[in-house]
Amino acid sequence: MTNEEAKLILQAYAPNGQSATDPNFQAALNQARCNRELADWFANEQALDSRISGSLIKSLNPPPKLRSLLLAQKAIIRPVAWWRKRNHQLALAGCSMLVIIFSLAWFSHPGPIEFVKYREKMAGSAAETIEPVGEIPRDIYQLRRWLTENELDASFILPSGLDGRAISNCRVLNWSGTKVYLVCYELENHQTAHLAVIDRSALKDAPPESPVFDQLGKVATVSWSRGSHTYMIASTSGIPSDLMKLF
Amino acid sequence: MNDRDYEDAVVNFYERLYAFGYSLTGNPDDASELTQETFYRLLTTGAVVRDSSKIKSWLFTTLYRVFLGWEQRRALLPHFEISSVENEISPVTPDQMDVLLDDAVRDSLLEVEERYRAPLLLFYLNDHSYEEIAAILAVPIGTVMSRLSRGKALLRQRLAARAIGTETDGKITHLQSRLDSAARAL
Repeated sequence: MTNEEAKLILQAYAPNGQSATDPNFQAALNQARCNRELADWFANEQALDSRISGSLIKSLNPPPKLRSLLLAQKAIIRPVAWWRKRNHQLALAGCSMLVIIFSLAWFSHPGPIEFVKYREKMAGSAAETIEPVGEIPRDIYQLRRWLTENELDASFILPSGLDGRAISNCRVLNWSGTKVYLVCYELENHQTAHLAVIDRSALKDAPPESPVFDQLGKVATVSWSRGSHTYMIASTSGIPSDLMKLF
Repeated sequence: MNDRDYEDAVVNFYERLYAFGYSLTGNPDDASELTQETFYRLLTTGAVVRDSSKIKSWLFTTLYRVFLGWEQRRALLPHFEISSVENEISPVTPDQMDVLLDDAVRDSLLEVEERYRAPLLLFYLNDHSYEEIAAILAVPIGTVMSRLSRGKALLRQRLAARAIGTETDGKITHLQSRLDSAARAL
């Protein structure tokens, strides 16, 4: 590592020292201990950062009333039950239609298909709507628990952007002897992300490990494989960046 | 989310969220509104944040997304490769920092372009690792590091300019007072 590379890394070292235990800084810190010029630069960098940090924290104080306003907000705004929100109802309806369409497609399909057909079917059906169905798990933890209790594989790994997101609908399908999990998530912009998880070996040409983004008509898609599963997400927003943010 | 969780979130994070909002919008009114909008979303969609340890990152991420929505910028922010970033050594020194008021440091930050300003402020708040900053801003870690490097250089250039201006103003004031004293003596 050159001194210039070490400087680039050390510039992200927190001024209050909280990065001291971060292993990503250790090599650059060790180099600074052995190199006088780098050590001097780092000491100066820390001194400046510390002063700038102190000044910014002092000068960006919120107005005195803001805290009271925020605390009062909870007395005025009561959370709306998720199932009563119109956009959630629409999302539920969209997911339900999707689930039904997929159900028909999967059950009637004669055997393994090419990945591109699998993706087109999902993307082409992502905007349909119908009445909501059945009781569904609220989050991925409930879904995994339900799968485990029913002796189904719950070992799939989801992108970090789906962590903690509420599930608006889900269904497990049996297609040519292969389970397909269909899970619908709400996105920030009132759109829905439709996730499909399938056994990798069920597809003739499963996508690679790195995510492949694509646009099919008005639907944005991303697909990838990891371990023994192949994943695909279709977004009704049609905005690829909505999907990129999930990774 | 129950009332206690909400109150804890307000007490623990509203000051830093406001600071982040201020650095993005450049004025206290918009910063307050951004902060309020973020906590409003926590109240109305708070059930999504089931893991309390993730509330901090959820709040900062939400505030940033609200800001981006305000700006109607749907495209991803530009991605800069580390190799393309110049390694600029700022002329500002710790001694020069002594003559600057805290507000001048804040105003210097506000002059920096937003794509550098947001990671800089999160970095100087001392609350976030660079990995968390990457998650909040939805950019790769390498982009955060390059923006921090470039952003620091830009901020220090502005700080140095202000410090030199302050020193010059001080000398002019001092000279003026000496001239006034001399005039009175005559």
